[in-house]
Amino acid sequence: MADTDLVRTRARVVAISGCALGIAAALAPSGLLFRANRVFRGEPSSLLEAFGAWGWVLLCAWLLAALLAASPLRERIRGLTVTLLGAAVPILTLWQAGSAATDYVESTSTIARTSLGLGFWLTQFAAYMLIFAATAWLEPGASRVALTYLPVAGVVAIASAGGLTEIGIAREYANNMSSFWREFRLHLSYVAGAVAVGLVAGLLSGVLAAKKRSLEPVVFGSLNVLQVLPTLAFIGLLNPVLSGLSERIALFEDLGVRGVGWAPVIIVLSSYAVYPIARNTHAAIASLDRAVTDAARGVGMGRLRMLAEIELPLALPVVIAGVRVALVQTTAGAIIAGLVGGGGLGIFVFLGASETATDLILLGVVPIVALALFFDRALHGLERLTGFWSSAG
Amino acid sequence: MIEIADLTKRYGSFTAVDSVSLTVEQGQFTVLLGPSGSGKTTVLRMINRMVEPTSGRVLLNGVDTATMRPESLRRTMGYVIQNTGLFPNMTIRRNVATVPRLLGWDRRRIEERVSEMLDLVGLDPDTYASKYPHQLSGGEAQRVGVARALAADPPVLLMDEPFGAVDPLTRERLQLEMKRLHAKLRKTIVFVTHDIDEAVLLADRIALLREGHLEQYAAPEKLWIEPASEFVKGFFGENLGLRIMARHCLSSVPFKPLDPSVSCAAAPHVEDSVTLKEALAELVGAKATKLIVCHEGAPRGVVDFETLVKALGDGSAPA
Ligand SMILES: Nc1ncnc2c1ncn2[C@@H]1O[C@H](COP(=O)(O)OP(=O)(O)OP(=O)(O)O)[C@@H](O)[C@H]1O
Ligand SMILES: [Mg+2]
Repeated sequence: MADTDLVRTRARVVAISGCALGIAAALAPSGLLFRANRVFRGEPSSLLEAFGAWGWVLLCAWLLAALLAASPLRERIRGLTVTLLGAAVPILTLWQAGSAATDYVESTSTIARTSLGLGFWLTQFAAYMLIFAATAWLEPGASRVALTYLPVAGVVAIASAGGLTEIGIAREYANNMSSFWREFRLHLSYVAGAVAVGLVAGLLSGVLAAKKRSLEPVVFGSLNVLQVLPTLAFIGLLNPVLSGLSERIALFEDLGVRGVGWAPVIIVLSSYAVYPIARNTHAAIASLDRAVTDAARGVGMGRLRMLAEIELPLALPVVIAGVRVALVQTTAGAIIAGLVGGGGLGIFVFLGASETATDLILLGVVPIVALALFFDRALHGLERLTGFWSSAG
Repeated sequence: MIEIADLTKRYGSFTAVDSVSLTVEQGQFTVLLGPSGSGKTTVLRMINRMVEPTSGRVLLNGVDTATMRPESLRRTMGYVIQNTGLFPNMTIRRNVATVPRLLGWDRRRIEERVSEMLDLVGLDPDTYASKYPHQLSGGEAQRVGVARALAADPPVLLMDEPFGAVDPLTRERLQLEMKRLHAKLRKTIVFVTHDIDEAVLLADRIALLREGHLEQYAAPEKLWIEPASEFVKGFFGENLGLRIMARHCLSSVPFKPLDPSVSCAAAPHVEDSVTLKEALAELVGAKATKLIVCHEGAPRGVVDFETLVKALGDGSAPA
């Protein structure tokens, strides 16, 4: 009980900080950037300026949300109103940014671009904080989940109504549509492949370390080394090994294993993914209730059956938490593939950086952030489901 | 029958169990009793090979357990521990079905057996079978623990402080039910506790351990009348006589004959189903020197203080 009270008090602090950040972001000088063309430096403008009257509506929404968050209203009402205000922010700002961009193109030329600036992104982050905090006041359940995804639905609706077509990132998307989805799928397959390998290796090494105490330092010692090796150095070290292998073994060559490309990417990403999964598996199994494992042995279960029926199922929520960390980490980490000829969303990031085309960078970064957030939420739900037997559930 | 011969367990230079020998007869209820750290759990766990002995042997019906596969051995011995050790990720049904499943029984037989076992320990199968352990009270969980241990009808039951973590009232209820179960099923039971009342109430024989040594192994009455050492005498203390009186039913005592004209309502009286201890309490409570013993309202005889004490005198009173 005391725990959830603390969470709820903390939620007020987070919500009000979110509002403060939102107001600062609305006033920040670089909310939107108006450029004559895609690589031009551009003319910054705050959201308040750029949105006209709607800018004042945005400010009022933040103030109102802060007041409600601090108010002594009943929790359910407070949670509902503040969440709705939080959900309105991304919808309002994106819609307004879209129309500001359209106006700008109409008043200048078709090669003109409107980019989303720091103030805009901070606003989205502030809204995320607000929603995250305010949902703590709501009863868990379907309606709470629906409210969390309300802004996503709003953004999709605005985008499909064509309200965003003149925004820089959407223009970059339109220009790169076919390659975007190809790289997106490639990116996802790197993540899936690496986490799958990481899951198998992580489970094996986690169980091994938990069962054979003498192997624990060996297992985590080697995983630690992999973990601290900088990505590029790691790929550099792999390069001669992999090219050597494919030169000598025909099968590897046929598979397209080379010093660059997908092979080193998968190896590096998997070795990062192993660590959190192995750590959590080990911790979960090592900390199982002694009475339960003792009883399992006492009724005559063999080691494998105990692992399959008792230890792994009981460790599952914690293992999934490890998978969640690995997924989020790998989703971001797979950017590196763009640098070493492996493709993926990183391509847009590095190409954008070399051309100083911020919007192209964003075309790579925004889906990565969205994917990471999605994985985080989805696996959180799975953790909760698999832990149904704990007294808290 | 379990024969324990010269059983010893050392951890490094520390001797946890020192050359313990004792025999548990078929159907006998043996309690391992002793202060904390005296080696009770270690002896118990060497019986089902959860702990491997440093030396000595355990024979199960004449067969050395060291020659059996530990898993198979354990499936023939029910095992109940203090914190129940119920599997939290399984329903009560699946928990109780564990050993039958390991033994490969068919589904129908398992399902019937689970209901039978829950009934036996006083839990309604329809209400409880689909619950999860976290939805049970401590006492209910402990009953499920006993049901799980009995499910495959093992001839032997090993219990390590099974009622140690429940409240005193529930504990007393569970003890009486355990006594009833033993009378009904006649399992060979080895039961660990450090609670003297529990030991004296339940045991056919008590093995008193001290720092890994077996001090004495005998029926509670014998421990009272002929303690083997000062330690034994001191451990049970002054109250052992009273505790033993709680083991015996008044109907087992030879009453003095009675003038047939006396009615049960006229004088201080007790039913013959009470224990000797309760009869004594009644005697003191009524400030009387004798009590009329009645059976369903009909007078049967008279007991006085002397009869009550003498009933234990030779240590041979039937339990
Ligand atoms: N794995 C072990 N390693 C080292 N010493 C141990 C181990 N297991 C038990 N001991 C020691 O052996 C002695 C007997 O332990 P045991 O658990 O049998 O005691 P117990 O009579 O069951 O006590 P309690 O009533 O507290 O449960 C204790 O001193 C204990 O510290
Ligand atoms: Mg013990």
